[in-house]
Amino acid sequence: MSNNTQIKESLSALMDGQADELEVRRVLKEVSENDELRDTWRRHQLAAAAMRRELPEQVVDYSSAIHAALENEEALGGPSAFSRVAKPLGRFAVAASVAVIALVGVQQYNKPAGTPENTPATIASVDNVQVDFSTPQLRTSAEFGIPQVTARTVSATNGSQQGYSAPRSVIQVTEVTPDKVTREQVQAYLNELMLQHTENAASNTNQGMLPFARMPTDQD
Amino acid sequence: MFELREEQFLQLFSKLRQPFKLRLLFSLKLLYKHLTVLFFILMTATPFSPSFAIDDLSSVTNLLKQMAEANRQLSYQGIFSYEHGGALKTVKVFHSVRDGQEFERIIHLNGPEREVVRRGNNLNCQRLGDAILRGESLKGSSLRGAPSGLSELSRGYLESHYSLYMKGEDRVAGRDITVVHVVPKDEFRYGYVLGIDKETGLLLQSMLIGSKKRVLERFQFVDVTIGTLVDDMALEPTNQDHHLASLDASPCLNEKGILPVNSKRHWKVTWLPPGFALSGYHISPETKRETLVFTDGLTVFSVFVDPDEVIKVPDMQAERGATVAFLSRIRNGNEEHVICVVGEIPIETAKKVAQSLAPI
Repeated sequence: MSNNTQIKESLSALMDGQADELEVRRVLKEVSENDELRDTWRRHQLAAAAMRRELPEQVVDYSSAIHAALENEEALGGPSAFSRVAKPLGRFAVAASVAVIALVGVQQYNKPAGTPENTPATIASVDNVQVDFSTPQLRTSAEFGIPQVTARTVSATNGSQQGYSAPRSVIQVTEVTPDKVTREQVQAYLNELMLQHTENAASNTNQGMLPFARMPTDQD
Repeated sequence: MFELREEQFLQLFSKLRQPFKLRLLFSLKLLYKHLTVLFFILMTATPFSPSFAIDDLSSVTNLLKQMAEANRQLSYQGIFSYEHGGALKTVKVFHSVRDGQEFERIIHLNGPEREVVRRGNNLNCQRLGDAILRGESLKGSSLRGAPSGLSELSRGYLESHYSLYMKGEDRVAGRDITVVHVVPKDEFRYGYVLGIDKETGLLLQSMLIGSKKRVLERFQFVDVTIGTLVDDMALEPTNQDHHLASLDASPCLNEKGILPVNSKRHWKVTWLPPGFALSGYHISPETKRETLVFTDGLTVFSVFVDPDEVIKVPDMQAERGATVAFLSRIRNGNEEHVICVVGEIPIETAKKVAQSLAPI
């Protein structure tokens, strides 16, 4: 159950282009085996497409159609030497096609549209962009060289063009000690520390009360 | 369409790779060529300016100094928005100075009710972060013995870790601001875009810029009144559930500029990103939690060490908005401890700091 939630979080991270390599692999593996997850993935993609207003007039779900076709064929032809081979192959094809869809997704979402892959080391490029935009007419956000539009912009207003992803807080467990603590306990502990850090940040930086805006709220 | 966009960016970046001076010369008209060269010679001769300091650096540092003072000394009230990862919060803030002490109250206006009150922060209390931002010289300060090898704080300290750029003007909350870009010189910290009120120096806008130039969070005043008296009542919490902010882990530097540490420290970090130094320390008498606070003047992170029995957590990392937390465990003799590094820093930095923790 909790594993399922976790994989869905990874899935959503993947959609945001924030999944790390390990997560991508895990999602791909799960997606190929888990129908429910595949559905979730499709729904997410549809929602994202809808938000970008790229929804095609007709949404066709090839995977179930192919699956159905295979099932039908089997029913008509009865068990034959061919279908005994074809069925697993067909299944493999379905899995492979899903994997391909997922891979395409990764490629698109991992790459914020404005960031070329061969961007030099972060610092250097920020410096470079700085220099290039030194003509002061541009808007602040653009001046820092923030990608203009990411593949997925979640925003109620059309105006926002920052590289924002959906709000989320992620907990990544790298080494599991089973059954010792609940997720809620960890969350509570982290919230407590984040709050204390906020106090430290408020008194050690000159940003006034700004750090307190970061305070965790229950919804986060 | 996607490919086209990428191509354009590649072009842009290849253009960027040209030597800077060349580009600058090209961008200016030939008429000004000689002036530019002269300008360059002058700029490179000043102590703080690396090869491409095109702004008047001393005016940027003055601006930051003014900001550091304004944020604490001014009375102001207003509403600001705080945005991270697509979520938007609005927050009401009151800040007032009475008898040389700061009184603050903030109220979250949307979502779950949140209210924070902070009282009694003495204006004379100087902390390391202040000192750095004000560009003060602290000889033989608390920095001595810091693993960063820093033995004194000198003017221009901030510039050794960030490039500062004056980026013209803008308007926030109906007021004119000066925009300053603060670009980190290494990958251990994030950058900032600061919008500083022209008239008073108050920080009216701040964006935290992560790797790949992503905006990690944005704070911006919507409306602000500066300099008028803040009503006493406005500084009193109305929500019984409010949080009273503690200043425990942030002692003031003493007159010699040294961080007083009264209790015995048990833990130290053996690695810090360049420029960071210990700016606060606290050990909780109740929970035995040891807190170490580090800053480079703009960025702050905290290191918490808890006795193992507090929570049996696995190694993990968490993030919320721009804040990351790296949790790990450390064994000292027979005792196990939980370490957590929390801050608005890249997770790699947090991890490295956590892994460098050692008993004293």
